[in-house]
Amino acid sequence: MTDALLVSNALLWCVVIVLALVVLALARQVGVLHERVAPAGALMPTTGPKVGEHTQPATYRDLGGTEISVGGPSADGRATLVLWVSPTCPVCKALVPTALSMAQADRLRLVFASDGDKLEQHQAYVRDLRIDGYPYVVSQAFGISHAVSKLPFAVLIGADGVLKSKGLVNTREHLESLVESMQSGIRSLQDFVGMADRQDDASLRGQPS
Amino acid sequence: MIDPLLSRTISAAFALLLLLAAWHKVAARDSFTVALGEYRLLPAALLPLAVVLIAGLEAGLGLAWLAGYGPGIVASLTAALLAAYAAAIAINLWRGRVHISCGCGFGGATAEHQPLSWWLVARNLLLGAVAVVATVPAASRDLGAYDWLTMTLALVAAGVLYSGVSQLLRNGAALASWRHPRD
Repeated sequence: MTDALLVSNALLWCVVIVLALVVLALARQVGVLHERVAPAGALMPTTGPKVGEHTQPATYRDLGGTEISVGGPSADGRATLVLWVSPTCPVCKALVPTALSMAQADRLRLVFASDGDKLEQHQAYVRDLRIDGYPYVVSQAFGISHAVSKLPFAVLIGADGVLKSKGLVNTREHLESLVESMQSGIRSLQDFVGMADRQDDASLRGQPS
Repeated sequence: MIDPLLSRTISAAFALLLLLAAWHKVAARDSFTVALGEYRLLPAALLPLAVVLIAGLEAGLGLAWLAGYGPGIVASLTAALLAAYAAAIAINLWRGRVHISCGCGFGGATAEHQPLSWWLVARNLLLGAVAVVATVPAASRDLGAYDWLTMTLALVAAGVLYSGVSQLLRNGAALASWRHPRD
């Protein structure tokens, strides 16, 4: 009996060590992933209003007929996220729940926008995705004013009315990168990569070899 | 009264920890001097002396643990040293200087960057608490070969888990740096 316990104890110690090694290896892999994977970001078009510009308030009519204002300083101190979607775009459909949860988490005012097609189609889409609680603007002018060319497209306007970021958003990461961009003050992924390169160069020059 | 095996294991673990830390501070003295300076707790003129004193203190305590003087005054001194480190980190966290390196890794000359966080304070306090456990007098019992095996395996497991925790702290810091703009 004692022998059995001794063997079992030694065996358990070995298992504990192996498990600890596995945890260490996993943690290291996560660390390496952080280093290797550049943060994913929304691709920013060069046309349309520039990031950092003040947006002009514009009034649009949403599906319910209510007038809503987009752009300019906001009255309630919240940033506005405008997401252009379309009933015929499958990626948009997948992105809508992400936008909803992000708007809640980051306290954003969420506005959906679209254009063309028949109004009934948009109304069915809104019911289908259960986004009737949010303004849904069908306006070609709105899209043109922000140079929206591909969907799903998102624009983030800060509480101060300044255009914080914008871009073609295909995944949750892209959408999050817009908010990240507002909080960090880095305009786009392209800028971030450029900045990291310059830092690398500077640190290389600073080190005696 | 605690079991002598527990007391011995704690002694060996602290001997390893302190000697490795002291060796690291000597091997990468330049980067440790910079790290210590970044804490902004000591005047720059005293830094080289402080580095020698800290490394010497750690080495001395490590050797004392190894020689078996652990349970008693050495344990209290070690706990005090760890508490002092925790306080230094906490002061800099309050100042908002979270980006500075803690200077507490064992990465050899490569000096892996480990930014400050409250987890480091917690880690040092926990280690200090373990040192305090060793001040409890140990019961006397003859240790057999099996006890030594248990001790060795426990040390290996503790070492690997310590590295794992350090790695997770680095990962956490890397994530945090993406979330908040640095000063």
